Amino acid sequence: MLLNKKMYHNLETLCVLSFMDLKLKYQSSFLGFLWSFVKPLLQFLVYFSIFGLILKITTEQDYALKLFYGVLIWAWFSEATGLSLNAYIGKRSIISKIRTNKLLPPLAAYLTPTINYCLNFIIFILAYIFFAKSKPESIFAIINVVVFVGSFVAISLFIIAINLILANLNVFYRDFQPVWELILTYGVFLTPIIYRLPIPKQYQTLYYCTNLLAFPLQSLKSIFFENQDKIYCNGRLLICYTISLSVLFLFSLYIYKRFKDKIVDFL
Amino acid sequence: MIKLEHVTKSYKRYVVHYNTFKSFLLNFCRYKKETEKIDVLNAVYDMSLNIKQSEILCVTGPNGAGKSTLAKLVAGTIVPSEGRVIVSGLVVPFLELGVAFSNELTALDNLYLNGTLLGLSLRFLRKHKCEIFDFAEISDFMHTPLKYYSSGMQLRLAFSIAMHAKGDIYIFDEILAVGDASFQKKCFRSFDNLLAQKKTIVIVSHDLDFIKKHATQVLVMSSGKHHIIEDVSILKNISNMENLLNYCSKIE
Repeated sequence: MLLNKKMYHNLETLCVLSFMDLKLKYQSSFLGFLWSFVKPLLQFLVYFSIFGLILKITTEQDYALKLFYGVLIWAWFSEATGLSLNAYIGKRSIISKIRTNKLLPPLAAYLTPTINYCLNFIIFILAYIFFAKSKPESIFAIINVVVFVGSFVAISLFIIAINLILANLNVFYRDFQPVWELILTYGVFLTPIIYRLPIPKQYQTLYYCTNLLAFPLQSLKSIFFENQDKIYCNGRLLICYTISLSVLFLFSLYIYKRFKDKIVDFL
Repeated sequence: MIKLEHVTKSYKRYVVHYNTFKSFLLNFCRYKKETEKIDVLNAVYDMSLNIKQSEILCVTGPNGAGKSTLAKLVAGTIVPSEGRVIVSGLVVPFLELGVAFSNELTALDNLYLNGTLLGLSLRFLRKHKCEIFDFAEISDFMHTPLKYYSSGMQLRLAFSIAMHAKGDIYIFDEILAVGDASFQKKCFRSFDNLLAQKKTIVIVSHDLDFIKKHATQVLVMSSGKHHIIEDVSILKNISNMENLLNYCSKIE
């Protein structure tokens, strides 16, 4: 009963932290809350004008929608991990003066962009309903629902794991922020967002097990669009991906447990 | 109840910036060795202490003696390097008021943020928000962003939120009263209420008269050493901090 009460309070604190972060983020900007919709749209327009219109890298159907969906997921990932770098440092006064669950700041850094992603997903769905030409017939098949939920959980676990690692690392090594920004710059081109990466078959397992965002992203695209590789049907790949994600998640928990009591001394 | 068992809290005496990823990569091989070479400072050393329910522990001593470190250890914001700190009951720390406050948010939002962090439920905060603002005497400014508040108003709000947290243990790090003279009286009345409710209290203070009046136990900390005075009546003959420190060193 006591545990449940504590868990409920932690959940409540997490929601308040995330909601206030969201409020703080948008109330000071000119466009306010609208900015959360405009930002990925602008990012999409940049990529689409360069790669879709000027370079014409592909002629496949619904390229704009696929790109938009990829950009939404990438924005979710990059924003959440970017926020996590300051999860402890930015809340230094709270952590060093009030006894708080140290999981909450990295989780709040995940939750705030997740709310944004969910809101943006509604826009994607509206655009999809009106403009998509290559809709699969069995879009509401049970397997698609399972893959959709599974991919969301996989991306969430991946973000939370990265958040736990980054939040702790950045306390001890304050110059880690530019390193992560560099990784993100490469990441956007090494993930199937703008184009399909021509990964040779023998390296597919290695690729999807090292770039843990690529597998769920590709799976999600294959739910919404025809002619996409249904990589989740590859049992071996699915098992290898699950193991890699589990290893990363366990490693992040180890990092958290190892450093959670030390971070206050270094803030 | 608060119990400290052979508690030591030590910090490394860093003399140069050590916390960069670049320095870690460049000195990877000797990083651990170099880190171990850094001198260690014991802010609290081998302290054992038992504070029962409704007791008032006053912690005193010169600056840099480790009083705030002890307050943080009891508050649970830091953990000991050695030993154990056992605390049963909800702790309300007055280590620094309004720590979670954000100037861009309204006072009401800050109430929810600070209140939940102090262990209050949202339901309680929604129900008692008017009471909390009334106590702070700022009811007309509930929806005003905190950046338009004076520092006194901010402290009053923070004090009011913390006082409404129904804790079992209260830790005051030299903060007992805030605001103007009339609000300070209110703060002292709230403190008296806590005493009447038999709450366990830890107070870091330099005020010997206050200590003589309220303490049931006194902990004197100085230069990494500590001395516990259980019979506070002996303080009657001690007039200032210097005499108190001399008295403690004589006993040793």
